[in-house]
Amino acid sequence: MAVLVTIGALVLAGGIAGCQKRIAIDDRPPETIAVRYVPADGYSDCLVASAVMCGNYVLDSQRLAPRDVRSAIKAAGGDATRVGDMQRYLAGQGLRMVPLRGRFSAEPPLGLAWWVLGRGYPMICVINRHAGNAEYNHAVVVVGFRPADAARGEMRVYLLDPAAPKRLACWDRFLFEHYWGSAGWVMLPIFEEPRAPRSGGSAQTGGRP
Amino acid sequence: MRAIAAGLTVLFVLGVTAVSAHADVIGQPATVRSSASPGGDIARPPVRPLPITAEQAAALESISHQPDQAVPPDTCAAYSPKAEKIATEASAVGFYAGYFGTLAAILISAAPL
Repeated sequence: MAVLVTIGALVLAGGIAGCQKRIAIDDRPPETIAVRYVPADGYSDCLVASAVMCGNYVLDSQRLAPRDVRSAIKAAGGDATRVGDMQRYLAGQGLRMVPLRGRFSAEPPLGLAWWVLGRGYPMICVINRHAGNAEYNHAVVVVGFRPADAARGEMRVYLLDPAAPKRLACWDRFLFEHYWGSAGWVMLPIFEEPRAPRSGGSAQTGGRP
Repeated sequence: MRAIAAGLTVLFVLGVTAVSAHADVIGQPATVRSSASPGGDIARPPVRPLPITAEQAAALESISHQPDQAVPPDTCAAYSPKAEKIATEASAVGFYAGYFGTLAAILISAAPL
């Protein structure tokens, strides 16, 4: 009997240890935005890597390099982990980053799905796995969505995590929402500085093309 | 008894491997499941981002300055502060100590008296 209990406990312990492993997919699914992955070089480079991924995608070039971004922000007396300093740096590159508190919906202009699916922008989202402790804020880039089960309509979120050993992760929607909400629903859209004013739709009313 | 101890070790390794493989398939920790409907239609994003007009950008800036929407500019996003690194290392040490301790306890208890 004791042997059976021991066997059960060991298998259960192995199961728990195995459950800590998270899926990561290297092939890009067609419903994701083709963003070139940039890994974080250090323990505090997630925002730099995420901004470089989104900035280069928007510019359709590889103009931004993590090392240059870090150096430039540091030379200006800033901190590359701070949203405000990153915002200032990107403004000098012809890019605008507007920090917003988003929501998981397709409603413009604060809906994450609206930005990703409706407008085609990869979105930096700040997540936190340790709710209540802002020191653990972590930047990831959301690049798409897909239903996990068409019958039940569950949704999953594709994201690029600069700190992950594998590049493209696929999270359950509610897991993502939990972590995102723990960081205050902060999302950081990056887009090219508008060149000339035009009459017509606005972001407030949707601005759908 | 030693054979039993060896068998238990093999079972433990198999348990880790099997559940890890399952996690790769289902993609999520088993504790997080959902049943609500999605927030919008599933679609493929545009091949290239659609431009944001000056009016849209101005509207976004306006929204970002509203009190309930404002994100403090000193908001930080850092991959892994030192505290987490230290905690990770400490938990790894604890894990291996517990693992090998358990194995040692099993082997000792399984040894002939």
